[in-house]
Amino acid sequence: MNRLVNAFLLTSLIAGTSLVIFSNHWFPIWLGLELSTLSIIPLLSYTSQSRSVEATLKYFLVQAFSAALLLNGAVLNLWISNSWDVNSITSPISYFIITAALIIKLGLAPCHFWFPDVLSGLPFLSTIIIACWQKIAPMFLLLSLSNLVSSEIIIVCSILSVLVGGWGGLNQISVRKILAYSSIGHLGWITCVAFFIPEVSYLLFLFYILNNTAILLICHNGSLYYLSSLSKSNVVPITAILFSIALLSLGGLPPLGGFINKVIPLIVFSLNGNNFIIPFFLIGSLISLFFYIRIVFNTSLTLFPQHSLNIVSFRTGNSSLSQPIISTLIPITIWGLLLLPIFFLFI
Amino acid sequence: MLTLLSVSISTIVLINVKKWNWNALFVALAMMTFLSITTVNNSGSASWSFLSHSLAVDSLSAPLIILSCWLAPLCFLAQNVVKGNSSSLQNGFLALTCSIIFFLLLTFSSLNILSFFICFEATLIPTLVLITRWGANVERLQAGTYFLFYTLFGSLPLLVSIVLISQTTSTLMIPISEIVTLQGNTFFSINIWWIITIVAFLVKMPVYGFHLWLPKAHVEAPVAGSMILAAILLKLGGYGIIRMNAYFPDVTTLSAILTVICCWGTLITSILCTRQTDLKALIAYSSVGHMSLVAAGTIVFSDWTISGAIMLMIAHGLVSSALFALANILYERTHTRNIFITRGFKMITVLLPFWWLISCAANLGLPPLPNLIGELYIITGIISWSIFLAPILGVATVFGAIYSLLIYQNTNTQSIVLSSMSFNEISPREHILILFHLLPLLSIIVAPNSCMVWSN
Repeated sequence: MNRLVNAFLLTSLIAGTSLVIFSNHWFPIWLGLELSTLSIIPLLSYTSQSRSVEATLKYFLVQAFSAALLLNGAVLNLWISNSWDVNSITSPISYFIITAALIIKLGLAPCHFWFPDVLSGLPFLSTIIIACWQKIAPMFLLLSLSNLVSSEIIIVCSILSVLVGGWGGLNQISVRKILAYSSIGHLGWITCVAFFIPEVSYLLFLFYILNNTAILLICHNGSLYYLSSLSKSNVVPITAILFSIALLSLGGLPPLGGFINKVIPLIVFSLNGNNFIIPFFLIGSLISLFFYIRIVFNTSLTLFPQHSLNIVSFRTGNSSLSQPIISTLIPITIWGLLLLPIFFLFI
Repeated sequence: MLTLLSVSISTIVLINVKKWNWNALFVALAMMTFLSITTVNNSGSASWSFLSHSLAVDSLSAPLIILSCWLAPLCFLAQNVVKGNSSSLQNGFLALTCSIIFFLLLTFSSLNILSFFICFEATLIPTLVLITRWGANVERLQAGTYFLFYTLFGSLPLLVSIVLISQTTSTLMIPISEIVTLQGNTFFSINIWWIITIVAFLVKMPVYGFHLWLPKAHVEAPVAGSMILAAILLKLGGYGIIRMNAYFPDVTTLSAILTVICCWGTLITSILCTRQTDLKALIAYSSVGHMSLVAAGTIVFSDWTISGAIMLMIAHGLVSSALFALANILYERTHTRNIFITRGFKMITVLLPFWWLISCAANLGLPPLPNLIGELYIITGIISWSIFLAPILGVATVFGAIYSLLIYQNTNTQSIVLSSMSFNEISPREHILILFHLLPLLSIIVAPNSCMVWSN
């Protein structure tokens, strides 16, 4: 794509998200959400492949609908509480409409159906934008709303997300769909903490975004689109090992950093005496660990019969820029458990 | 303590250089082992030594630390390394082994229950990689999945229990665990709390109902993986139960049920052992039987049974690891583990039948070897707890003797299969490997207090 157009679209994307995060008035928030949606559309569909265009269209429809729903809730809140201020959400009906819109935007269950479909139609760099960057704005809104009104809809949706994320990813062969379901599951863990201590959710969300970006960048570098292509030695061998470590960290195995994403919610749940919901999260995380393990097995723990010319190949892969970024992000997944004391500042 | 940890960490780092001196690394690990023997506590009472902010050694963890350090050079020996230029495959293998040892040292010496849990789980990933990457058959993927998921199924409730303990008692220090009391809300909640704490260790031990991962993992694992698994990783379970039982002094109903299940498990696995066809699966089931006995002992939690449990853990670790090393010596030459084919090697090996005899004798519980001391203490304690378990444990002991003698007879005194008569000699490396498994057994006979004292 033309470099100027690319720069313009990325700048408006960043501007849209920043507008959402830094506003106090509902109208710029809606504006920012729509701006980020509109500016992505050329970015996602510029290759004109039919699958990408279809994914872009689905993405646009879902996001536009949910943004309109959000504006509807904001206007309803204006009618009830006579204020456009974000902090003036007090009535349950406007809170529910806005939260429903955000749940659709984030891809939490039961509104998750668009997410694997969209993600599996896009190349990996676009996947990073959809799965990582585009979650920042709705997540910020959800967490700041949780500060005002505590409603159990978040817990219900997060339990459903964790279970859907576990069972949905089991029968997939496309790596993008697997990562989509893993994303749904992780967002379930993160948003459930929002009901109790929303500040902690920011920490978990940041950690998850970094982990997910590292994995998607490695997949982009090696063009690992399907489980069958995971055993390609297109990736530098150390990257294959780091890929497995990042995936196990996503699965929540100690001593890797992703364990933070599991232990902090458990501490928060039991702090508030809410032990009943814990088994659902444990079941969801165990099931999703199974397909992480399947990817890890296919990547570095099994060696398929190869033509001898292929065994030693250190091609640099798709993008040489991703290598230093991967090398920066992976140590966070390895040493991230040392960040656990930060959590204790919040309780 | 820090010296031991730094040696094992530096071994991981130094392995990855292109040309490493195998002898130097082996000597470094052996020196670490001899250094670890200083942790032993012969004072006759349970006390914490080597205290620091987060690591300490007491008379329960000292023998286990020594055992895990002892296994490190033995795993080096068991691996048939090619000296000189090392391939990245061997590097990775030895680095994984040393990382397991590192996390084990941290587990046994940690003063914080959460850090104990994190290191307990941290041993899973290198073991998983060892089983699935360096195993030989296609079933190793299923074995790795079973291993990981059985352990995690137990340990996620353990994490919940640790979080609940930290909420209730606002401390996670192990030395304080005897002073705090946990109050459940209802009659059932303290029992459920105890169950979710214990299940992780029961799966790890393993006791009979949760044992399915162990034969699979042992059959598919390479020799060093099997050795570490049998020797130390199973003992994590026993260590965990003994530590966590201090929080739950009065769970009588459930502990009674679990003790009976563990005793029956010993009997059933002993009978199953007589019908196994795979040599490694046989030794794996014998591990299950012995560790079910240890589990029964730790759940009964009297003075005698705990002492017997610790003694049997150490002795079984050494003997089981020796048996796996012996099985691998034969496997490397005949490439089969079928007991109908690996038989009669007394005819063609020089010193090996002697090692087989000592290991099988130790396995069946021959006095004065410490296996018998441990078993005897546990059985005495359990029988004094309930007389009705006496026939079960008696028959289990008899069957234990039966299958151990079956192992010895089949591999050594049966008629040899003619096709396996051409055979590499047993190298001195392998002789030293088995010798150093069995030497500590003899030394424990003369110093049993090092492995037996733990009174809270």
